[in-house]
Amino acid sequence: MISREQMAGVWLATPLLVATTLLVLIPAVVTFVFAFMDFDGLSTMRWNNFANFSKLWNDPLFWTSLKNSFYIAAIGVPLRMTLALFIALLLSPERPGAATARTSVFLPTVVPDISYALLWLWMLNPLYGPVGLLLSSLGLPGDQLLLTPWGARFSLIFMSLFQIGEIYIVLLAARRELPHELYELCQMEGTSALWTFRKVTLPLLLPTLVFLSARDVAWSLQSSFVPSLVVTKGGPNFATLFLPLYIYQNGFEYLRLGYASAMTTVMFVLTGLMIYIQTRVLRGKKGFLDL
Amino acid sequence: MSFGLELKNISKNYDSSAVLQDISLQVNAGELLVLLGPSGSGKSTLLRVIAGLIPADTGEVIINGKNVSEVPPAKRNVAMVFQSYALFPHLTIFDNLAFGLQSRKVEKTLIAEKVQRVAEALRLDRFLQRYPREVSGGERQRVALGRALLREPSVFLMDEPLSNLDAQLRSQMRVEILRLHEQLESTMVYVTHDQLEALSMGDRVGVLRDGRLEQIGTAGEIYRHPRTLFVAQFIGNPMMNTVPVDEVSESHIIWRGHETPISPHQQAALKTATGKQLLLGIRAEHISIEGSRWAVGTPPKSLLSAVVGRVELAGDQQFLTLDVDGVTVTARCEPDMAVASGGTVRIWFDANNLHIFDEESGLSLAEDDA
Repeated sequence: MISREQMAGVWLATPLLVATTLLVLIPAVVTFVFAFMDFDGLSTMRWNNFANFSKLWNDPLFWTSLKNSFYIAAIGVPLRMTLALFIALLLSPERPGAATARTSVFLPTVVPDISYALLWLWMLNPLYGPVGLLLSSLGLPGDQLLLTPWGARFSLIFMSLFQIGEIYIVLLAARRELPHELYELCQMEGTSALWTFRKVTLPLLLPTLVFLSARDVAWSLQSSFVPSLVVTKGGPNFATLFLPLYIYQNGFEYLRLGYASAMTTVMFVLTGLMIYIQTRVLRGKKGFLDL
Repeated sequence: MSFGLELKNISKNYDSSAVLQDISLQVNAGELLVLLGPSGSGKSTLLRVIAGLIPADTGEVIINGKNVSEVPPAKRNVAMVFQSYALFPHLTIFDNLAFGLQSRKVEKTLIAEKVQRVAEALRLDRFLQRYPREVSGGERQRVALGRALLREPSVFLMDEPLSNLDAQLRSQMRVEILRLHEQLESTMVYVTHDQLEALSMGDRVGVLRDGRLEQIGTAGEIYRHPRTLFVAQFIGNPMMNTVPVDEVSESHIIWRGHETPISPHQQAALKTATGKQLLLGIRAEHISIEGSRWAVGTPPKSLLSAVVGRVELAGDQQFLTLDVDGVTVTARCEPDMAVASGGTVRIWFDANNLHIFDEESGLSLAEDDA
């Protein structure tokens, strides 16, 4: 027997459940099934067992995209975490202008991905973009920004450094949750700012940081799609061909839906694996995740 | 005479509200002063001003004769025990105790030696390798105390250190803190909202209300000779009864037709208070009930008659809620006295323990000789 109250809960949850089922769960299952099929969206589907996966194994561009996705996560995630932590700690005390600054740090995160990418396409333009001009005026090769593999990769990482709104908001909240008395104690003991950060703030924020970086790795795998599609088109010379972009090209440009599904499945498994390893490694450090 | 701690005209405002108003007091070296007050009275703020964690707007903090108003907390030679204990959850008990010494880069063997000594004194040596969450509330409290001890300060500041403990542990720790205080002969300022703690621990007690020091004195002085209505009612359980005085004669106070004699200095004080509405204050134990073994003195000629409301047996005594002509007072008597709710008793007030307050100013008349 379901009570009225429980029934109300079911009703309230229904829109989300329906949406999740239609937009996430069913597509996920379909993708998983497609991964074992030959399907171009036009002719009849055929089972081909593991043919997609063996093709993947022998596809050099798959490995390139995997490597690129790894690069951008390995460099971008630590940079974003460090920057978000720095800004969160900087803006956590009440001081003049802090409230305005707190809002403005969050703003880039709410700009729609496509607009954000188009904006940067202009900003990073080698001929007339402000970033290129600024670099050139400093004597750096600003016009090469998007034309060399690492120039392009770093440009995309640089773009992503402004999209730290969510990480930083969580860190800001976590910092503000830390007991004030711990810091009063530090004041009374006269510990230096660096000591206080290393011995108090950092270890106490570590559980939050672990959680956020695991999430950010997954985010970085997916969010590299729009910029690489709009700003760099995967180039130069496949340097910014990331997994989601390669999946998109296969699925919707070459209509190799089965092959794209197989790649998506691999990306899903890899993401899960990375998050698992990350949390395992840090959980091993005594006392950190079960404070 | 040198004081361990002296405060001169300390004031503090947040925005437009005054949190501390012109507080001056002295604590003798080796004395334990308890600051008592309800929440929001400014007692924790005052403690933080002494520690240097909060700067005062005006006034001076003087420790051992030295003005430290401009000195940072770490150089004031004070240690603080926090209400929440402020232990670091990610550090072992050892590292928590050693935190300050480590930050000052004291030599490792010396740290180990000092921590060991304090841990033994506080019976913490078995727990040194554990984390705070793995030990009990009382042990955490002792770690917080130990950390303050390792600071070897000249003034200890304690911010409601026992309020998170259960009643039994609290009385044990009270004894422990007093023992430490005696051993160290250190100056201590102890903040609490618990009057029992304040009266039983403090050499002297300072009562704070809305950022003002209402009264400072020994527990006996504060209980027997409250200078204000607030102090009178805040200290003591049950709360002191107050009744509006109907009429004052030369040597008596008249209430509900009942004459209670008053002391000569109260008579003198009353002369200056003509035309003011006065309140008569009397504690439950100073109301005598006819027929009770606990009744004090010989009953006067005229007694008040009262209707018994609630009867509460509190083990070793009974509290009676009495209705005297529409005014409610609380009295007490021995636990085995036969009184029934709805019955009538006759009572009188103990003339030696009357308090008279000016209702408007809340000040007591004639307690200044206390």
